[in-house]
Parts: sequence; structure tokens; C-alpha cells
Amino acid sequence: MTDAQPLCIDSLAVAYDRDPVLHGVSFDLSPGSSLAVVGPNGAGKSTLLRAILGLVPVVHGSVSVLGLDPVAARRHVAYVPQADSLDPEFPIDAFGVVLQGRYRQVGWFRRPGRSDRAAAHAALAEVGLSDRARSRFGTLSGGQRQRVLLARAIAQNARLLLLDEPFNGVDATSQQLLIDVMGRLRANGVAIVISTHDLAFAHLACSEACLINGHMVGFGTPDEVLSSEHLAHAYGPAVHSLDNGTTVIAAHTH
Amino acid sequence: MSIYGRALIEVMVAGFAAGVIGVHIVLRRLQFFTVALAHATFPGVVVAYWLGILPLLGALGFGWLVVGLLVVLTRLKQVDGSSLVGVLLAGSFGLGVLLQGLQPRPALDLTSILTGHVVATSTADVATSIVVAVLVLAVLAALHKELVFGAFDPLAAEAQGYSRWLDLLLLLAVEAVIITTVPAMGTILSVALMIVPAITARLWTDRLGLTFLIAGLLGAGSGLLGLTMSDRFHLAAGGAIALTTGAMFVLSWLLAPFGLRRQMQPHGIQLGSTTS
Amino acid sequence: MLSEPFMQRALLEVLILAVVSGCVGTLVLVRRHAFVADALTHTMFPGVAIAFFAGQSLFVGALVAAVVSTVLLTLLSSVRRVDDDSVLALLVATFFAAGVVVVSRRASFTSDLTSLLFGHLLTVDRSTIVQSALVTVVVVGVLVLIGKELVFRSFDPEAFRALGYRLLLLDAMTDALVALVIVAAARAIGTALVVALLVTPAATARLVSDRIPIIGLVSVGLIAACGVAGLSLSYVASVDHDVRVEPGAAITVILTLVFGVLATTTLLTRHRRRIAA
Repeated sequence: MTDAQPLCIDSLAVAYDRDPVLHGVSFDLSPGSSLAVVGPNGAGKSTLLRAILGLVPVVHGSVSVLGLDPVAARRHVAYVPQADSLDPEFPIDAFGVVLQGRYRQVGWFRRPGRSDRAAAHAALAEVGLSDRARSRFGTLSGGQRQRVLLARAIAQNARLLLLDEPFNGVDATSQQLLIDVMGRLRANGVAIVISTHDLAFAHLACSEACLINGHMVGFGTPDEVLSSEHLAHAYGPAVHSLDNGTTVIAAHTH
Repeated sequence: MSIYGRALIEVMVAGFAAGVIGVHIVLRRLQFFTVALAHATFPGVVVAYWLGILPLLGALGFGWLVVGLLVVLTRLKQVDGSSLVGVLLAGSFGLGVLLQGLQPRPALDLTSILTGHVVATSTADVATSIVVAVLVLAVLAALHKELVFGAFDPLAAEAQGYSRWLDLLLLLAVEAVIITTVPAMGTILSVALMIVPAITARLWTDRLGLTFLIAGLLGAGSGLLGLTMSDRFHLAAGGAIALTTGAMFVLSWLLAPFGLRRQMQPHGIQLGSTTS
Repeated sequence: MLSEPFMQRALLEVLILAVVSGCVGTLVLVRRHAFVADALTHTMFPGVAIAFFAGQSLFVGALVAAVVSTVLLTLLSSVRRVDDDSVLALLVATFFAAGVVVVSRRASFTSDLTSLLFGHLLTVDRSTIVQSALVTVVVVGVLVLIGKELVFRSFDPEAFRALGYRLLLLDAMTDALVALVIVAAARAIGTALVVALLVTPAATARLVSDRIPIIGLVSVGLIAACGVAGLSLSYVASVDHDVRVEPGAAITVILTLVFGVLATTTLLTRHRRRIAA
């Protein structure tokens, strides 16, 4: 199990009804690596994450997670949603959210035990939020919420982490903390897939990058893949190269 | 047992179960769905009366049919969920009126279906309500952590391997509790016990366990108080109970820590957009 | 059957209601306001009931109830702990309960309740028709004037606000339009069944088209066709077969059946396509 590749995708195509939304995606991910999935809005970033979770119909090719079918591998995979997609009024505290990561281990009908609580506390400490354990999730800042959701994934002991736009509306402190924690997880052999449109972050924190726009435009190290040429291909005329060598993409409304 | 005693047991059992499951309903934003399901018990009661079976079972059967239809219809991506719920609500209510007009035996009283007729509650109704309430509360307790996880973060729960069947189970449980409230409240007013105690409880606490307890007690208390008032002042019991839940909400809004007081407090700029 | 004057009046009323509820129903669809529409039908009930017993115009009673519930809806929406759907549920429960309590004090409880909830299409009089026609003119006029703003606001409230429009005013306007339709239809179709005219036809039309003007036209056509069918069914059943069929209920059920048939076709076509792909 542990020596299986965290993620193998082979000429994947996904379609809703008859409309193909993503095709021609092939790459492998080894333990401890982190992949930035980059692409414009509507390029199929969330669709790719959903395919890895086995939540969308695969019409061609294959996805294998830890050597298993995506559905069978789910309990070894942690999905970290965007913090602002969750109900801020929900009556649950930060500790309660982190504890959710233990539920599959606890099993049906049983309450989390002492070891589960210890694991949840450790995970909260890992993201530096031990002092906010009893705060209601909705009272935390955007960055703190994102850290709590990452702690939930840590408590799950997952081998593969999927993060959906983890840096949207996140303060600089939390951003640095998230990057540090991801580094420690990777050192322990956890593989990470991050969908993002933050190119600077992709260069900074990821060992690989995958550029998509309805299909896979490129895969490799961030420096290779996120070249202006590739980006121009994916984003069209909105890409500009600055004199100092960095590439920017003209802001588009979200 | 006296008629009044039977009615009292009926409304308090139904009120407690409704209060507890109401918290799940509010957390998952299933309020409109609950209103629709309550309306959808109407044709079920009429058909059961025709067939000579216990009306509550007819209501349960038709309600579950509507749940199934909704699950299938949500695959229609063009039409949003609330419109689908509205279509089913209107359709089943119209069907109920139609069938009620067609019925060969005119004895079935429309008023009691729509607004409840708790003093006519039979021992079989009370027994059914108690069995259903105990079963539902047991299921909710057993699946507590999974149901709350699914309400808070459905995608992450599914990613961890929890099946969407859990959501369906909750919907079926909601319908089961609705039928326990129908003898007292009727098909339209049962929403009072299903939702108002739960939103009232949210004004008192942030702790989830406590929310469930308060909502259950408020539901049972509204049943007790409302029934007593209806007996004293000769009002329709369903109406009196529903107005009691409303009064409890208003009182809580004025007094509870997260009601008016919280609103008056100056707080920072609220991030995120308002709903709707 | 059209030689009967009461049938001519009923038919005319149905056609007028088709125009107004088809148009507003389309707005309800794009705003995803089905629950609001349903809630307003219930909150209208105590106003209608009190007006009925006080011998006042039902129209005025419904209007007062609509204003009170719209104000409460706006006020309670500011409680952060309680989301909008909960507020709607609260209003449905308490307002309808108040109506029931008022009606239950009367000896003629059942027949009064039935007539208020399900209407009396076959006994509409000239003044009801005139009222409905006036409401239709007002509502359609408003939709023509501010239709594009209403659609924009439904599509992208943030951008709409960014352009300097006032959301609150426009939303109150939407609620008022829906309330007006319910008021107009209450006498003929009843408060409990109006929601069928506001939600079902537009949802059905949405399966056929994704263009708003066409959805509106198809909705109007559907209500007119199903309205005529329901009226005829009710007439034939009661005159030729001596079976009591409420015309409002018949119209509702026929509208729902049409939706069911189209929904099934849509789902089956998609299923077949998916297999073929």
C-alpha cells in the first residue's frame, strides 16, 4: 500500500452528459511530491480534483489512487475545501471540525475516543491553533479556517491531500504557515495536489505543476511548465511577460 | 386514558422528535423541503382513508414517494432545487384536494387533515407516533457524527467515503417525524414544530449537543403549552401550538444571547455576501 | 358548456391569471424564489380570513397581510443566526396558525377554510375579474419597466450592487409583485394552490428553453391551456358524471402532469445520449 504511487492518471477524459470538460490528462505523482494544478477559471481544475475523488464519470482513461480505484482509496485521501464555501454560522468549534478527520477510523455508531482526541489536538497544534480549539469555526479568520481544514486532513493521516484554492482570501501569516505545514507533510511522504491560480505560489511550494485548459497543456517542474509560452497557450492574450522575467496574467473577474 | 391525556402524549412526543430533527433540517437548509413534505402527506392521508389503512401510514408512503421523486428530479440541472420542491409541493397538494373531492365516503374531514384534530387522535396514532419517534431518535443518535459532518462539509464527507445514502436516510427520517406531527398539527402547520423550535434553540447556544436538547424540549413544551391553551380558550390545537412556537421564538429573540442583543452589539465588517 | 355565463367568466379569469402568473412565475424561477412565493401564499391567509369575517374586501385583507409579512421578512432576515429560509418557515407557521385560529372560532369552519384555501373559480363575479385584470396590467407594466434590472439582480447581485442599485428596494418590489399575483388569484384559485401557477409552469418552460422571454411566453401558454383543460374536466365531471372536481385542483394536477412528462422525457433523452456517447 505505502509503496504504491499516490496518484497515476492515464489519458483521462471526463464528461458531464455529452460535453467533455477535460481530456488528455496523464501524469504520475510520487510520495512526498506536491503538484500545482494551474489553469484559468473553467479550465477543469475542480473537475480534476473530483475525478481523483471518484466523484465524476470518467469516460476514457484511468485514475488510480495508491494503486486502488479512487472510490476504494477515499479514506486515504483528504479533501480540503475552500474555507469560505462552508456555512459560517454552523454551530461547531475548530476542534470539532478537526475531529471529523478521525471519523473513518472511529467507525460507525461510535464516539471518538481518547486517542482520536489526542490526534485532533496534535493536528491543531501543528497548524498553530491550539488556543482556538473551542472557538466556533465561523468566528475564525479566513486563513485560520483554512488552517483548521488542513488540520482535519492531518488528523486523517491521509496519504494524498487535495486542496482546492487554499490561498483565496488568506492572510500572509496563514499562507506561510500553510506552506510550512505542507513541507513537513511532504517530508513524511504525503503527496499533495493543489488547485490554484496563484503562479507565485506554484513556483514557491510545489515540486511539480500541471497546466490545464480543458486539456493538459503541460506537466513538469513549475519552471518548465509555467513558461510564458505555455501560459499564453492556456490563458490566451491575457498573459504578459514583465522585464524582470516574471509572468503575470491580467486580472480577470471571479 | 382520557382524550386529553392521549392528545398530550401525542403532541409532546411529536414535539420532542420534531425539535431534535429540526436542528438537522436547519443545518442542511431543508426548510422548504420540509414544508413541501408536510404538504405532501395530504394525498397520502386521503388515499389511506379510502383503503381503510392507518392514515399515518398512507402519509408516510406518499411522503417517501415524493422524496424519491425529488432525488430523481434533481438530475434535471436546468431547474433549481427550490423550484423542483415547489412543483412537488403544489402538485401533491392539488392531488390531495382532487382526491378529497372524489372520495366516495364524505366522512373524511378536510379541516382536520389541514389543521390537525388532536382530540380525535386514536390510540393507534399515539402508538405509531411513539414507535416512529423512538426509532428516528435512535437512528439520529447512532449516526450523529456522520450526519453532522455531512451537513457541515458534504464534499469532504463524500471524499472520506461517506455515501450520499446518508442524506437520503435523513430525508426519510424527516418525513417519518412529519407524520407524527400531522395528527396534532395538520399538513400545513406541522412545519411549526419541525422548524421553529430548532431556530429558537440556535439563538440560545453555540454548542451543538445543547442545541439538540433545547430544540427537543422547546418542541415538547410548545406542544404542552399550546394544547393547554387550546383546551382553555377553545382554539384549534394546531393553530395554538404553532402560535406558541412563534411566541417562544419572539421571546428568545428578545432575551437570548444570540438574538437582538447580539444584533445591537457593534461588530466588525461582516465578510461574505448575504444569502439569497 | 361555454354557453353558461359562469363558465365564460371562469374562463376569462383563468386567461387573465395565466398572463400575470406566467410572467411573475418566470421572475420567481430566475430569482429561485419558490419558497418565498409559497410562504407569501400562507402569510396572506390570515389577512384574507379576517377580511372575510369583517365583511371587508378580501383584496384589501390580503394586501395588508402581504405588507406586514414582507416587512417582517426583511426585519427578521437581519438576525444573523437565523437564515432566510428559517425566517420564511417561521412566518408560514405563525401566520397560517393565526389564520386558522381566527377561522376556528367560527361555526362554519370547514366550508370557510376550504373556500379560502382552494378558491371558487366557478363563482367568480365581474368585480373579481376586473380586479384581476387591473392587477395584471399593473404587474405586467412594472415588469416591462424594470424587467432587465430584475433579471440582472437575479443573475449577479454583487455586480448589481456595485453599479449603485439598491438591492433592498428591488427585492421588496419582487416580493410585492408575487404578493399581488397571489392576491389576484386568491379568490379564484385559493391561497393554497396559487403556488402551482407561480412555480410549475415556469419550471416546465425552463425544460424547453433557456431564454427568459420564451420561458415567460411558454408559461403563459401552459397555464392557459391547462387552465382550459382543468375547467372543462371539472365541468364535465360535475355536470355529466356528478363527481365533484375542484377546478383549481384539476388545473394544478394537470400542470404537474405536464411537468412530469417533460421531465421524464428530458431525463430519458439525456440518459440515452450518455449511453450513446
